[in-house]
Amino acid sequence: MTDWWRPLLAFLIWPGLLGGALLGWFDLWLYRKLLARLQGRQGPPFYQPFFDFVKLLGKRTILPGGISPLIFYGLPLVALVSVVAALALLPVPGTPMQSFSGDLVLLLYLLEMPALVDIIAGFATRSIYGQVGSTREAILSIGYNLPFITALVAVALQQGSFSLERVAAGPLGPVQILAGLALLLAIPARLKTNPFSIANAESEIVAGTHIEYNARPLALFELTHSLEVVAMAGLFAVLWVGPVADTGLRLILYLLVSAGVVGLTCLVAAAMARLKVEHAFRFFWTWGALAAALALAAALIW
Amino acid sequence: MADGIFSKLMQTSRLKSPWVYRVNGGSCNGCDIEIGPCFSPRYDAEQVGIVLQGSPKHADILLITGPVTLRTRAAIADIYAQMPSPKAVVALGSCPASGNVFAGSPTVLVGAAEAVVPVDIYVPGCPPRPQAIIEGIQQAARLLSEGRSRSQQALAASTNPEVKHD
Amino acid sequence: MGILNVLSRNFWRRSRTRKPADRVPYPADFRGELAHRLDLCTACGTCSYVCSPTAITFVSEADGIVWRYDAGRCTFCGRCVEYCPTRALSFNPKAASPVARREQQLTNDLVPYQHCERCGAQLIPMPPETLVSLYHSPEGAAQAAEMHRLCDRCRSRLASERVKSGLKR
Repeated sequence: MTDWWRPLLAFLIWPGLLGGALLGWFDLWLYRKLLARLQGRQGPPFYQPFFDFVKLLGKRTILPGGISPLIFYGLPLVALVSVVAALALLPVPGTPMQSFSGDLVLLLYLLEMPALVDIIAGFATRSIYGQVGSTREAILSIGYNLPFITALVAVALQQGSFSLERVAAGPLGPVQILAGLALLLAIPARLKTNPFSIANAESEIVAGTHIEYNARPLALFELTHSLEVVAMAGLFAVLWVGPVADTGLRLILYLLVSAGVVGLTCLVAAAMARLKVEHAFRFFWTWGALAAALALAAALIW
Repeated sequence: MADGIFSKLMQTSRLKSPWVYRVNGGSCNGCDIEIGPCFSPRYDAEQVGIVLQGSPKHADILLITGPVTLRTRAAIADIYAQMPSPKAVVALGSCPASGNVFAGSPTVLVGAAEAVVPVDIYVPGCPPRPQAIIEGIQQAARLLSEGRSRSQQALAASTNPEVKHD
Repeated sequence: MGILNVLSRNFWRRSRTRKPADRVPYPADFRGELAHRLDLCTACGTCSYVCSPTAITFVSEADGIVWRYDAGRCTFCGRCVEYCPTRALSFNPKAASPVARREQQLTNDLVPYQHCERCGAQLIPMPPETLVSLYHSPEGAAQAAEMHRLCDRCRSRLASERVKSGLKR
């Protein structure tokens, strides 16, 4: 009862909405700038994602005909709230949130929500492009969730607990390394970057699931995407910097590692083209399954 | 006070983040081909925030190329209606300004693009150079940020709260 | 792994982007804005005749002929520049800038009528510069200019006077 303010602070300030938004805009800028530099271009200035978001807020929303306003305006809110809650649960250095047993499972459910919302949004818009995007996203999610969930389960198995703090505080061992590799396989697919950007293939299916969204709901979806980037990169980073004792040093390392994950994702995206959905699925159920099996085996052995 | 800061922020964001949608109104593709280099490493329009969007619902500025023919008239009007305001229109090249060599043809509208959508900026050239295209988009972004685009002036004259579109 | 070499080269070298203000220099023969010299124009109508999109038209007014040019209709093909007999038209090496209103793309240049020294009829004389290039010397041009300030009827009257009076020219 006395600590009711902890989750609220974690949700709103750090690592939740405010801190997550700032870090998310930085990560988005880093991604676009690095991608541009790798392609020999200049790239946008550092304030670009922030102004993109503000500009979208200032547009008048067009409600497409035949879509219920509850779904149209409610879905982005659901996605945003779930990803902010997921961020609040992350044992980021300096978080006021106290970890509880089973919060890893809650985190996985919450992180699944934005993808699910995207799928529903694509089907709810009566556009054929949205439906194709949703189908692809659904198939891809069955693919990338295999290494993603198995990696986290392997680390939890090794630590003997589903509490995020226990999982993050474990020392760096072969289990963490193998689980990290499996996570890295899944992260480009969760962030919808090459080679797994089939779900929002730009010129091919126009804008995928977000095709009918505009103005403020689109702004919320873009914010959700940037927070998703923070959450994925942060999830990887907390597994790796957890054992460091000093909070200040851990925070710096956390920021560095999450920026490194974004940079690595960008490098892979710049170097590779888009895989078709069958190929991506097959990739995740062969190589992703191998990485997941290795991580689980290591967890059972060590 | 807060009102002033927020509107200043909105003005700056409209200037710094012009998202563009391109539609071909029956052009020879010369101007459309010149839009490509704008996003290449040589001219890089992304450094001023210009992003080529795939859906008109995500864009602020409509780039029209080509003399607006009878076939494309309905499509261009429909696309313009689908863009959420505030929006601006840039007529690329001399075809959407006047029809160029196609003026007088029975399949080209008299008045070209102006007969279908309110045009804000005319970029002359046949085709215009990529720098001229980027300059035209930046001028349209400036109009949007100052509230002087024709759609914004029309909105200010009317009192319609939210547009329902089918 | 060639792509990784390409990416690494792109990253470590400076980007190839030119700033929007850092314009690529226009080539010397670039077909930019059309420039019209009033002192050389004789309103012969050749440019309007050869103009592909009919961007150039001539309109008669009371005190002269108006050369009307629509930059929003011009296709910058260069036929007018090529065919103008007095070289009054040329291309500015700078491209025309984007404008907000259609009227800003229209140019109206009035070529004023001058009057025949003998009978006062309206005429547009041959420009002095063109005479210099035709007669290859300023003196020859000055002698010819006297004839060219007359309308064609007075010119033929003057020529027949000179023939009848036996003066050598």
